[in-house]
Amino acid sequence: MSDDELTEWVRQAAAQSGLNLGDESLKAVAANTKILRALQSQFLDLPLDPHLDPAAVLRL
Amino acid sequence: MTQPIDMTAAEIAEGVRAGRLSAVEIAERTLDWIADADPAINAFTGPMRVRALKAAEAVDAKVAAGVDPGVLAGAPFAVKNLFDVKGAVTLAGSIIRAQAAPADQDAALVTRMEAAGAVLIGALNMDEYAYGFTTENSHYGATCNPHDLTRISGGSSGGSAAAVAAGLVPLSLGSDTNGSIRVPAGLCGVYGLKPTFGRLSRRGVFPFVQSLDHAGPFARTVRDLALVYDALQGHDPQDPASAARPVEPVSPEVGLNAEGVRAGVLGGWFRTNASAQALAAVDAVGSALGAIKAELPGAQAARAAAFCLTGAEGGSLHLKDLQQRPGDFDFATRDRLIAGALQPAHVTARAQRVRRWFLEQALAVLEDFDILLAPATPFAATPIGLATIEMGGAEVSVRANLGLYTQPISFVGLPVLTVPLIRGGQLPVGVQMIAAPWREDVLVRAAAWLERQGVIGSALPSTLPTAPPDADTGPT
Repeated sequence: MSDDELTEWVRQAAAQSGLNLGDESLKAVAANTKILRALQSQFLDLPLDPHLDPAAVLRL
Repeated sequence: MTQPIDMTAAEIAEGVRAGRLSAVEIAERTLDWIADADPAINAFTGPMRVRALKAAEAVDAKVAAGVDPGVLAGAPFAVKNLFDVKGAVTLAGSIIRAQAAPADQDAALVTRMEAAGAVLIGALNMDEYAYGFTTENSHYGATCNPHDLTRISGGSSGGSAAAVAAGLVPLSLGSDTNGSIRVPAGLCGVYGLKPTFGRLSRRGVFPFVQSLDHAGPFARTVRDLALVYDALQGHDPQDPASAARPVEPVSPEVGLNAEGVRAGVLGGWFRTNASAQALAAVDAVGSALGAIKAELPGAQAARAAAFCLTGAEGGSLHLKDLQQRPGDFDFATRDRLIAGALQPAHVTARAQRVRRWFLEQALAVLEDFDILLAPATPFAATPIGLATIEMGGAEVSVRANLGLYTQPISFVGLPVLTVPLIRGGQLPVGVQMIAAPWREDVLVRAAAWLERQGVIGSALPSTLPTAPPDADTGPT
């Protein structure tokens, strides 16, 4: 996804969430989204057991 | 008399309990010292003189009546301003919250501190909504590092760490979601304990990321840290995350030695990109403990998942204000929260499962080690206002990278004690000592032993204003 496409995605997603972003904020949110996507790539493809429990941190 | 700034909480409590010191005079002296010294540091957002003096009077009255005033009798403490204090507005570092109604009761941990005789002195600065590692708060100003007033204190509990480091109070409370106790403790050169997730009640603590939030104490000695931690323990049925465990005191561990403790120095992710001084600090502690090398697989993925989950949960929590009054946020906080809130659901679902997976990795490693060691931060305190720093040959964000080594650990709730290295005139750096769930005892035992050996320790800085010459508070 190009930077322009990412910015457009952010604009639409924000609007759907009721968030009206000004130009400066749109650029900053897009930049942060780019960082998050890079981080997501570090764990989204991790091979996990389908039975892995996504429950709370520690069993209390 | 020694001024309160030069006394530990344990020494103050011993003096007050024995009737040699007055809790009221300690509180007055502390408040006066804060008035003198804090303008240079900006740790406090709200000293609470009336409440402090009233609480101190009650402590002195108990002593006079022969009633046990508690193990922390007369010891001053302060709290990050996301802790509820009855009658005060819980700011959580924001101006949005400044319009909220005052809290109608104290946070559970404030109540426990006062039950032990400690005296609440005031509220402390922090990053807005705890979303940051620098305490450069655009609404309330930056909290300066007492060891170099031109540098950051770390965050988000920067006020809590700086107040203790500067000797304004011997004890403070903060919160840690991704490193917000451990990062400022390391940068300010004090002890900071992030207990096991669920150990200490978060009732009355304004949330950031509910599934990651911890509360914990700061102190300048291991003994003080153990005393306050023991006073804070206990199940709280009103905090859904509070574990139904008995109080497990760690103060008896303070006098023991570290023989037999199996320590490991974490490699891989926890050494990559660390500065020479951060690595030297870890290796000094490792050497003293006879540590061997250890590996914790998956730390990079865990850190990434923690980062994304934080944005999603935090963004969700504040979505209404982001929609209705975006101009009232610090713009950097706002834009990160919005980006977090826009993440697809599958990302957060996956991050939660990565959390479970990484916990299994960590528990497996901790079968062979009692303590794992890692830097608290990749580098020492940076200048206030510095946005980027060179790391691994690239220019990276200071704010985003201070938590590189803390985020994977809090993601799975392990207890961590950040300890300060003795580095003679250099900026402080801290080391994370990490244990298996519920094993804060082994952390305190090893830290106390290291402190006695002179490997670690907290020293007051030399850059603070000195006490006024007429400020003698003699014994009562």
